[in-house]
Amino acid sequence: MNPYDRLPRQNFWKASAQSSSEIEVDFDCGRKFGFSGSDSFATAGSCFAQHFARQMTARGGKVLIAEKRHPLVPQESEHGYELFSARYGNIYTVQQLLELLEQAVGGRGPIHEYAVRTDGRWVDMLRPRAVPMGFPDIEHARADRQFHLHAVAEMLRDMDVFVFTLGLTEAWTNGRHGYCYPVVPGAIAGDFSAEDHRFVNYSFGDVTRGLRNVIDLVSRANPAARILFTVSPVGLVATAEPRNVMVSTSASKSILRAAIDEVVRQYEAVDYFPSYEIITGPYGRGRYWAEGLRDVTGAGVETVMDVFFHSRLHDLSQRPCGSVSAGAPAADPAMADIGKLAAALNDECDEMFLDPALRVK
Amino acid sequence: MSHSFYLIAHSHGVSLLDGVTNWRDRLRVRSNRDQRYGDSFQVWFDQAIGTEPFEADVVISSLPLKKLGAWVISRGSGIGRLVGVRGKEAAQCEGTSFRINKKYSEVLASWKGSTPIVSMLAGNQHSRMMINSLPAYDFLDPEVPGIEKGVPIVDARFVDEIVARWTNPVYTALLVASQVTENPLVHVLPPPPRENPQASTHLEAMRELVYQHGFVPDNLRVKWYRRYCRQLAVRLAGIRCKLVHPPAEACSPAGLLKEEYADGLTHGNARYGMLVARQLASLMAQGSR
Repeated sequence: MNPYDRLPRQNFWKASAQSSSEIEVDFDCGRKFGFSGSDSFATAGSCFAQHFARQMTARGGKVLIAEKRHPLVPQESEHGYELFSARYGNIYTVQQLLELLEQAVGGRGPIHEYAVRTDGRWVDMLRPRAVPMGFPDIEHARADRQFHLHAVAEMLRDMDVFVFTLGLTEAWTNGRHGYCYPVVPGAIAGDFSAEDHRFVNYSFGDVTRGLRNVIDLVSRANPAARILFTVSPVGLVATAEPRNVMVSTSASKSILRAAIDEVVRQYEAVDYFPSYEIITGPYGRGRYWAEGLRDVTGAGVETVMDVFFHSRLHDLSQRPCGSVSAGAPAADPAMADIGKLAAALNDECDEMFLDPALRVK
Repeated sequence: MSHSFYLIAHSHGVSLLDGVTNWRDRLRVRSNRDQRYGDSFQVWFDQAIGTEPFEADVVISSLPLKKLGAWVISRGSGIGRLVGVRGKEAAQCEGTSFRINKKYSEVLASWKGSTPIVSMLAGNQHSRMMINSLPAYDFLDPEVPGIEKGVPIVDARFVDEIVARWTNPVYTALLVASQVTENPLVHVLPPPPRENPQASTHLEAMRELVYQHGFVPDNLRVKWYRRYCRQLAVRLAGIRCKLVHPPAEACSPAGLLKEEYADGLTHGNARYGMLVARQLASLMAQGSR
């Protein structure tokens, strides 16, 4: 006898590799807690996180929308509501999330930095693509930010579960005032200044510290809330480090993954869901990568959500959903769906603005 | 005796007529009592006013105005829209073709000449936004400072799109008037939202809604009103139509209609009409010099 003899089959590579589907592999075994259909999920994070809210809603889950489209705002306008629980747009780094939550609960004053776009509309540099139609003037942008922070505070109070998908360790900060941008100034709006804007690549220590601060802040705002971290499998569009972007992606994701592993062990109400491993791991055989090898296919997203619902929201996992396939993912998903999904991701990912070849004019 | 001006009016014209003319005696209007409305509007919803233009004498001797021809389009008259926009109604009507109400064409034809045509058309559409039936919101307006905390901010472009639907009927009616006549055109902007709307004895057609939802904050009511007036002013400036603004004397520092000048929930009273008549007389005097 040795300690491995009594372990379940999921603990063994060979058995896992021979499983017929991701659900059978049970990527999420060892979970600390599951959820019920009545739980309200607040979502935030990078590009990949947008799918979580969509799929949750499509499968009958309850996504908390703290910042809703007002009836006076036409549905067809580029309002940016309901991609996430509030209109914060993509949040790539833990530091960005922490600063947002601190502003929302009053731990630090609101950060106001706005810039005018070439079309004359104003953007909030802390969420430059969250409101695609922009704002008519700076006063509106300021007022909207105040309400946005109010909505984020409400979200913290009202949610049962906070799902945050970590995306990057690389970021640009305002060196003068000490805050973090989601995308480098000058890429979408504003001007880059070598004096004011500084590149930072957050270390393992930075990320774990940031995560702990986020957990403490969320727990103070809502002691009953549970937190679920995931890591986005989507690679970096560009790296500011003097090395290949794929190497930077690996470093970034490894740091994020390790930092989560560290903090999850320390908090009862905090857990990790392995969407990153489902997409990038050997079991997927690379079939979840879209044509550019960076984005995830629709089948990949659905597989992740299949596992999530089967593992954590079992009471909703059997509900029919037209857009969600059951069982093992198709090896050759329809190209049309991939194209649509990739286009949607490209449209909604601030990072795309870093690559001049991909920049949307 | 020639007319001082012609008046074409919806309900806001009642304050002017009551303030300075003998129109009720001339028309001998009688009506069944409707508790929703005050005395001024008892004749509004039946056929008492009729569909024809009429003449009224200005009975205030201090005014340089003497006689006016009036076409008052009451709810009960069944006149309907003065100008219909063919096809899908656009926010801006330039370049679209119009279907002109037959009666309106006849009235304009009979008024052709040099006598000013004064419009007190429409002007109550903004009042629907006084009812607190939507989730809380606010928007920014350059003329009305202040923003409600903790509510979403609606982009002014959407506000303007809504307001354009309200200014369209006035604009198109006066655009047609400017095209088929050479008479000078004047439009009297409606009175601002009244202060203390909850104190109004008569809640008009909004009684049920008021009971159910209450009112939005004063600031928001003023914003909608100012937006309406500003947009209309810009559009009418393009068709040589002069404007008469609400008399400053009748407005509170917050830009609301003072209670003593209000009739019911949304209208000015005869005292208000008297002030408007003075402004009109002053404008006419400037025009004749």
